[in-house]
Order: sequence, then C-alpha cells, then structure tokens
Amino acid sequence: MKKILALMMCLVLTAGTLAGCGGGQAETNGGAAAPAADDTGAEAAGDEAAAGEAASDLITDFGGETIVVALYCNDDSVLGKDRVFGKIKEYYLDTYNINVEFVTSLMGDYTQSVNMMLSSGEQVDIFSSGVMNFSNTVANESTYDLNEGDLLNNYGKDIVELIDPEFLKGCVVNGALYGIPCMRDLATGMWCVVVDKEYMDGIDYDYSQINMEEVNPATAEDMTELFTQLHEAYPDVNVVYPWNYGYLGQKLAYDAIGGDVFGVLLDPSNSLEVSNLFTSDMFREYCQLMYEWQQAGFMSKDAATETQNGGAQVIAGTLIADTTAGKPGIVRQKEAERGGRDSVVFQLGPDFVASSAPVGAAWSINSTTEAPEAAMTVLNDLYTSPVVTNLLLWGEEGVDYVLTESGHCTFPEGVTEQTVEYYNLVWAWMMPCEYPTYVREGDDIDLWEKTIDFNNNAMKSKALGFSFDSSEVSAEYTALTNVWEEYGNSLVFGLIEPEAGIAELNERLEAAGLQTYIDAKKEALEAWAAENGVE
Amino acid sequence: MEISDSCSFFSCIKKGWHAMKQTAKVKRDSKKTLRLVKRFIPVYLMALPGIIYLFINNYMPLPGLVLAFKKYSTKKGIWGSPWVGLKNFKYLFRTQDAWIITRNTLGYNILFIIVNVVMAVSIAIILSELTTRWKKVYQSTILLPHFLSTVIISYLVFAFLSSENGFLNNSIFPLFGKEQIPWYTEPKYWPFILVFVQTWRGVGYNCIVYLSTILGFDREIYEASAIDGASKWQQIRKITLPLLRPTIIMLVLLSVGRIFYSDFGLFYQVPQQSGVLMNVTQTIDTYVYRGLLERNDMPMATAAGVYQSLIGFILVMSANLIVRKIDPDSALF
Amino acid sequence: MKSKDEKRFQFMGNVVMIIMTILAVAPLLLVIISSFTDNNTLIRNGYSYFPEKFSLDAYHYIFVENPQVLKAYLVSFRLTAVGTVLSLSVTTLLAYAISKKELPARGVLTFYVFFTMLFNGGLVPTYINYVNIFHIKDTFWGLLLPGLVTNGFNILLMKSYFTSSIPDEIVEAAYIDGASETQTFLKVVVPLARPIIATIGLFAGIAYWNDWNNGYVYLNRRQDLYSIQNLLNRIVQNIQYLLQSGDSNAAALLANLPTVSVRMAMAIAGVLPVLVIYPFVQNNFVKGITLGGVKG
Repeated sequence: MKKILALMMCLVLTAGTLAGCGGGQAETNGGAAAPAADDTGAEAAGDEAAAGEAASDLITDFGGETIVVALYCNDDSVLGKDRVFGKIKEYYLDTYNINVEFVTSLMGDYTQSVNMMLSSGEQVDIFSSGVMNFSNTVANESTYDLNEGDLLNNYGKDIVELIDPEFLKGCVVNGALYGIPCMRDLATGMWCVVVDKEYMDGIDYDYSQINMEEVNPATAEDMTELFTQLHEAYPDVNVVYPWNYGYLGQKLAYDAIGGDVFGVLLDPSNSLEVSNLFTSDMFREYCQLMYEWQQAGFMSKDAATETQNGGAQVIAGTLIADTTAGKPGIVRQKEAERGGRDSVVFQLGPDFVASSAPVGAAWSINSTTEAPEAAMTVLNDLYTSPVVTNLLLWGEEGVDYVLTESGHCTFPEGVTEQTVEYYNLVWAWMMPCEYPTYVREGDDIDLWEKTIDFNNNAMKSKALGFSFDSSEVSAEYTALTNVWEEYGNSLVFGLIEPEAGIAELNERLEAAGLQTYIDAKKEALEAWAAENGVE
Repeated sequence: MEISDSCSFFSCIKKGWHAMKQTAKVKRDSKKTLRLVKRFIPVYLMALPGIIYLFINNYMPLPGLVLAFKKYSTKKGIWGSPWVGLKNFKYLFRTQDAWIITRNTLGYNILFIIVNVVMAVSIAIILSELTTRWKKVYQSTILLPHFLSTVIISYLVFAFLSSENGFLNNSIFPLFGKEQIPWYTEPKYWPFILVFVQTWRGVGYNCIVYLSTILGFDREIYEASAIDGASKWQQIRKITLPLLRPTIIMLVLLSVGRIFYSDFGLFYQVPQQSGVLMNVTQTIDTYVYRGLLERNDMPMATAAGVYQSLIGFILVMSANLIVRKIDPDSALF
Repeated sequence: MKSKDEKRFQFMGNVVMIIMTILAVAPLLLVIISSFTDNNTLIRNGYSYFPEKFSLDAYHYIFVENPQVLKAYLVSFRLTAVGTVLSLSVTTLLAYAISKKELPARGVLTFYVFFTMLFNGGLVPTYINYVNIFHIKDTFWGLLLPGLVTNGFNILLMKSYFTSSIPDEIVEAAYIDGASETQTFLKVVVPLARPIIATIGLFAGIAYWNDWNNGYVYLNRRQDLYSIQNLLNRIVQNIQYLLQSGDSNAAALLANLPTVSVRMAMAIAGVLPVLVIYPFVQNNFVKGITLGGVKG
C-alpha cells in the first residue's frame, strides 16, 4: 500500500510540475497571439477610418520581418536549393524588406511535419492547408481569416485579380476566408481512358476520327468494343487497369461534398439533394461494367493488389490502357509517364468542378502569425510574381534553365536533367499557382490559358463553396471509411458479382451509421444553402 | 583460462547458495532502511541518468494525453483547447467493427506470444547446446529477417503468394498437381500466414535474450547432472527450463502490456491492403489508421493510444499480481 | 566420449538450424537477386531466382544519382556508435540499480521504468517537449536523444538478467570484502554480465541503425544530417507516393525509374553494412556470449 501511495505522490508531483510548465507555455502562446490580434483589430479600424482618404496607409516596408513558408516538395535534397532560396529571399528583401525563409518536407511527410510545427508554436506563417486536409485545419483553428482587416484586398490585390470569385468562395467557411485555392486544373475531365497506340496499330484501328493531340469523346460501349478487339489480338496482355476505388471520383460525375463519398450529389449541377452513392444507378452500372470487363478477361485478377501504376505496367509490356483525369496537356503528360510511347486518350464523362476542388490544395496563413500583412504580401507574390514562381520552379535563368526562342523552358547547353543543380524541387502543380511560370519544352506555349478556359468552361457543382466539418459524426466516418475500404476494390475491379456485393456493402454501411452521416451532411448543406442563397 | 577461473568461482559460491537465500529475506526496519539508503547512494547515482532521461523522454510529454479528451485547436494549444469528454473514444466502440478489431488484436497477440516463446526458447536451447562451429553462422543468419522493413517483407510474401507470378502457385503447386490458390482473396489462410511471417521475422531477435540468459547459467550444474546420468532432454527439462522461467515470465508479462497494440505493417502492408481479407487482418491499429488517414485527427488518434495503453496496463498489472502470488521472484515488481 | 543421446541431439539440432537458416537466407537472396534484375522483367515476370535479364540500374540510381548516400552512411555510423555507447551505459546503470533486492524504493523505481513501456505522451507532445524546452530540432541530438532508451524494455530485460544470473552472494561477498558499490559494479558485475551487455548493445545498435523516423520528425532544414535509413526511406516513400498518385504529372517522373528493383536495392543498401560489420562484432564484442557457450 505504502508503495502505491508513494507512487501516486510521485505521479501527482510529476503531473503538477508538468501542468505548471504546460500552463506557462499556453500563456506565452496566448500572450503572443493576443497582441497580434489586437494589432490587426486596431489596424482594421484604422483602415476603415482612413479607407476613403488614402490607400497609402498600407505597409510597404516591413522592416525585415521574417516570414516562414512551409513548402511541400518532390525532392528536397536538390543541390541548388539554398542558392535559389537565397535568390527568392533577395527578391523579397529588395521589394518589401521581408525576410522569407522556406522549410521543406516531402509530400508524404508534409502533414505530420507542418502539424507539429503548428502545435509546438514554431514559426510557420504560410502552409498548404489543402494538402493537410482543409476542413481539418479549419476545425483545428490553424488558419487565419483573410477577410479580417480586409487583408486580402489590401495586401493580396493581385490574387483578387487573378482568381475567379466563384473559386475563392470555395475556401469560405462560416463567412471567413480561410485559404486561397491553388491555381491549376481545378476541373477534372471525367473518366479518361489512355490507350497505348502501338496496340491499336496492331488491330488496324481507324484513326480518321481521332485527334492525337487532345482527348476524344467516347462512350463505354466504344471502349468495350475496342477492348474486345485488343483482347483478341493480345490475349496475354492485360487490356485495362482502371485504378483503385480511391479514383472513382475521377470517373463518375457525382459530387463528393465535404470530401468523402458518404452522402453525395448525384446531379451536382442541378440539385442539392444529398443521396447515397452506393444505391445509385450510376454506381451500379459502373460496377456492372467493371464486372463485365473482368469476366471478359480485360483486367488482371490481381488488379486489387497491384503495386505499380498504369504507366509502369505499360512500359513493362503487361498493360495496354489505364484511366486518368483529363485536362489540357494530358496527352503529352501520359506519354511522358509511359516513357514517350504514343497514346490515344478517350474521355467518357464531362469536364466537372467538384465542390471540394478549390480547397484541394489551398494555401493558408497560420492563425497565430505575428505579421499577417507581411505573410499576405509574400503569398500574393507566390501566386502572381513571375520572378518568384519561376525561381521556385526552374531556378536561376542561365544557370538552371534557359528560354528557347518560342518562350519554352529548357536546360542550358551542356546540362542535363541529371546534372542540373536545381530541378524538380517542386513541380508546377505543387506551387500555389502555375500560371505565371514558363512551360517546359514540348508543352503548348498557351498551356496555362487553356487550363484557365478548361476551369471556366467546366460544369460546376452547385455546392461549390460548401465544406463539411465531420467532427460531430467522426465515429460514423471512421466506421464507414473502413467498410468502404473492405468492399471498394472488389467492386471497382469487378472481382465480385455487383448485385450481391452492392447489397452487402449497403447493409454494412447502414450498420456503420450511413444514414446518420448523410443526415448530418444534409443538415449542414441546407444551412449553407440558406445562408448563401443557393437553391 | 578465463573460463575455468569463472567456473571455479561459481562452484565456490554455489555451496552457500541455499543457506544465504534464506537469510537475505530478513524484514527490515526503518533504521536499516536509512542505513541502506546511505550505503546505496552510489547506486542511486548510477540510476540517476536513466531516471532523468525517462523523465524527459516519457514523463514530461505525458500530460499531452489530455488531448484525447479535447477538441484540438493549434491556436489555443493543447492546454487551451476545449474539453469534449469521452467523445473522441466513441469511434473505437462503434458497431460490429469494435468486436472484430478487438478479437483480431487480442487473438493474434495471444498466438504470437505463445508461438514466439515456444520457438525462441527452443531455438535458444538448441543453439546453446550445439557444439558445431556453424552455430555462429546459424545465429547471425536467423537474425537477418529482422533487418528487413515490413514493406520489403510484404513484397517477399507477395513474391510467394501472388496468383500471376507467385512461386507457390506457379512453381511449387504444379509439381504436386495442386490447384492454384488465390491467396489474397481467401481469408482462411491468413491467420496462419501472419503468424508464420511474424515468427519468421522475429525468432532470431527474440531468441537472443534467452540465449544470453542460458549462457549465463552455471555449466557445472549440467556437468554434475550428466555425471548422474541425466539425458539431454532431462537436462533441458529439469535445469534449463526452470532456470529460464523468470525470463520467460517477464517477457510474457511485458508482451501482455502491449496486447492491445499490433504491428501495423504486418497487418496493413503484408496482406497488400486487400479489403476481402479485412475480417481476419483488421486490428485496432489498422482500423484507426484507415479511419483517420484522410482526417488526421490528433485527439482521436491519441484516444486510441490511451485506450490501448490503459487496457494493457490493467491486464499486465493483474497478471503481475497473479504471478506475485504464485512465484514472487518472477514478478515484475 | 559423446553419448548416443548427445549425438542424436546434435544431429537434430543441426537439422533444425539448417532449416531455419535456409528460411532466413532464401528470401534475402531473392531480395539481392531482384535488386540486380531489370525492372520491366520484374513487373512482367514477378520476382525470380533466375531472372531473364540483369541490370545495375537500381544501384546506379541509388549511388550515382543520389550523391548524398555516402554522407548519410557516415551519419549512420556515427549515430550508431555514439548512440549504442550512450544507450548501453544509461541502461546498464539503471538496470543494475533496480536489480538490487535490498535497494529502498526499488519497487517504485521498477514501476517508474515499466510505466514508460505502456504510456507515452504521443508524438506531438514529445515533439513539443524536445523542441520547445530542449531545442534539439535540426541538430544531431534530434537523432540521438528520442531513441536513447527506446522504452523500458531493455532496462527490464537487463534487470531480469542481473537478478536471475548474477548471484547476490557474489556481489554481497565483494561488498563485505571492502569493495565500494562502484568497484563491485565495475569489477564483479560487469564482467559477469557480458552476455546481456553484448545483447542489449546489439539491440541498441540495431535500433539506431534502423531508425529513420527521428530524421523525419526532428530535421527540417539539415539535409546533411540524414542517416542512411532516413534517406532511403525518403526515396522509397516518394516513389510510393508517386505510384499511388493518379496525377500524371507525378507519374511522368517515374517513367525512367526502376521502381521495383530500386526498393530491393534500398533494402540491401540498408543491410549491407550490418552484414559486413556483424561478424566482427560477433567475434570481438560478443565474445561474452560465445565464450560462455564453450563447454569447460
């Protein structure tokens, strides 16, 4: 007994000391945050008062303020990294007197890394909330409201000009603007099938109707017919790899509102009705088709445990076609992925902007930042300055890249992909905005204009701007996710008979609380629609 | 030289062994305690670095566990975030999944504990008794699988089991005229496969402890018994195993503490995340991972850890209590 | 003269161990062969002991296209050496203390150690603690400290050895002979405990060599401190991410990369130094184990 008592004492003491230091820490955190909030409040008030008189009240010299940007990278050990970051720093110092520092993490590691910096109070002012799951960072109060003190309008003018308000509103939660959408292909060309041309040559395919540079509209029947011929001619090669269940949203034009498939809009451009995807005709027909393809021998029986992507399988000679999300430049990209092999791309669905697309890779400012104005200024140029974006993407002109006469970007003479000092740290789509950057040799020089048109002309979900905080139904969410993972691949690779499989899936989902989850979503969506005047 | 020295040293000591064991267990009064504390000051100093380290590494972050009962805000910090009671634990007990993940986690761990002990002790005894020069080679080669990451192991398993290119289906079964087996869609084989892989990977590592313990035993006991005509098997049963008992009990007790945890890679990567197998491969850790992968919800993840630790703690304390009743010397404390 | 019984045991024992050895070596051999196999052959035909086509692409990719690799090996060696010595010292001293049956508060101390095996504050609180109070981020300490005594397991293991295999009486006798506690520990206990010290040293060494996670958590700005396992893991994870990403931008970069054989080669690159060094460790440092095994 004595021992236990002593032990308890020991523990209590420990806890006490810890609570002590923890409390102190919280205080300092709060202390740091509070004045910052006051500042902006005061400034906001000041701005309002002075708004009519002069815009010159805005800060133009930030007095060497340090702003830390957390980047996610493809390869953060490139040799020229420090040199190029130095150049970017120089640019910001010269232009705004802001001292910009970068911290880098690889994509797979980004969420954890930034999360820990946010939690520990280390300085990080700008990060990609989209990559970390936007609604989660908002729920964790990690993001700064960019409307506060008119921050975006005052210090992010170029962003305001650049981004369609309709996309911007995708990052609004309860009236607060918590991020800026990443500017790249926000629309998705639904259900594109990429077929290796060599095999099509082998069956004497008639190319008269085919555009080799762009996607070609087609139907599922067309594909079944093509695959049947290909399978007859090449019985030992798998005809198609349609990717796993996680990519269902790239094929069927439902809107997975709130970022998950439990409760979706089946007719997103016309109706705000939240339905169960798994009892829909759309889903049943898709599973049926995949089942037919599997039965016909178009797909590998091991597809569910495949560890290679479509491109690698095509290069290895075990596959003819896979699926992808369409966008401008997709043909060249898929060909690059397949080691330069010619490909034909068919598209079976529409171009579509899902409601969660704008937040998908959004960038945000940390809610505890001490200098929101400086951070917004830095972010503004990360989106719009050709100097900053090209440095980040390509490095220094003349050293890491040169421009061709047509305005394309290529390696300087005597330097290759392997020997260049700065290359591939990030790709265009990983940056806040790809539009100001040079396009690489081989791409259309007007690739970004085409991308902008692609986004603007695509069918848009009525729920664009809706986001869902699932924390009240998180128990249901985890259960549903696990059930869907159990059945997903079996269904989308046609490994089980769809009627029975779908019935079983629905039964399990019901048991896991699907209805509760859908109801919660419905309620949130209705409230959002009422608030925003959407019908 | 050294060997014979230490052997004679041992035999010398052995004579007084039993008598002294009795006298060691004298009740102490507080005066004696004080004297002992004084005497052991150097020993306390020896313990100090470890105590300080554990305090920094393990105890100081411990209050962070309150996260399990909070709605987390990075703005307010762990301490400032609002309380939400037990809400973050709810998902662990939801619907029929709760039963399956608990059953699998417990079932596999119990199997692992039994198989590991039997295999590791057997291998350790064999290794300790072998006289061949090859024993060093054996010992180091069986340790090799421990160095392979779970991802690589999952590839190796796939190399043997896949339907298109797997060794079993394509090279071995045809020899015996056996039908192909679609391993990754047949749940019934997986309990065996997982136990096999886990044992294969861990046995070399696990047996080291037993081996080093056996090698610390006094060889003269064995020689004496051999002169008395005891067979090898009798020696193992009557000498080695009883002497190993405290070590075995301790290792089992320690495993009991981790009984609600599972080797994530083994249950997630080795079955190639095959959904069809989830009924027999889903454990608490994989369930939490799958459920939180997209959401990255720290309080819920913390809640899972608290739950796992707490159950393990209760179980190991009870087990220790029982052990202390039966065999006080083997108890953890 | 060996009895019949002894001979039979030796024979059976060897058979069992040979089977175990084959079970351990055969898959490793497959990893080695696969790392030298042409990537497309691997995807097409699966893993094989007799591949159609060999290739050095994977090793070229690791050692030539990643100039950091050699530096990372050095970091790993340094980390493993320093870490093992430190970890072993801390573990042995504490384990010895709590193995003393007469030590007042021994039960409390043992529980103090045991408790760390079950409960920890979790990744984020640990990180906050180390970074905000001890400032180990982006330093060598970040690799060294968080894994120093991974948890109480090794300590309890060693304590159990001390209590079961080192008779109190020897220690007591030395003390009565006038040796101080420190002298007793160094002159009597440590030599007797060589097998377990070697074992725990081995465990600690393995743990430090294999650790890649601390590099992820505690290094953001110091690529020069990446250990080999950390670096290899980054490469592997990146490939994994690209393979699973539906984004063809990402996938394009994989077109010329031997994705499967590289992973096998990584495994070899991580184990190779251990394979080379282990026999020496076994020969010298672990003499304690093997010596004890030789019949007198």
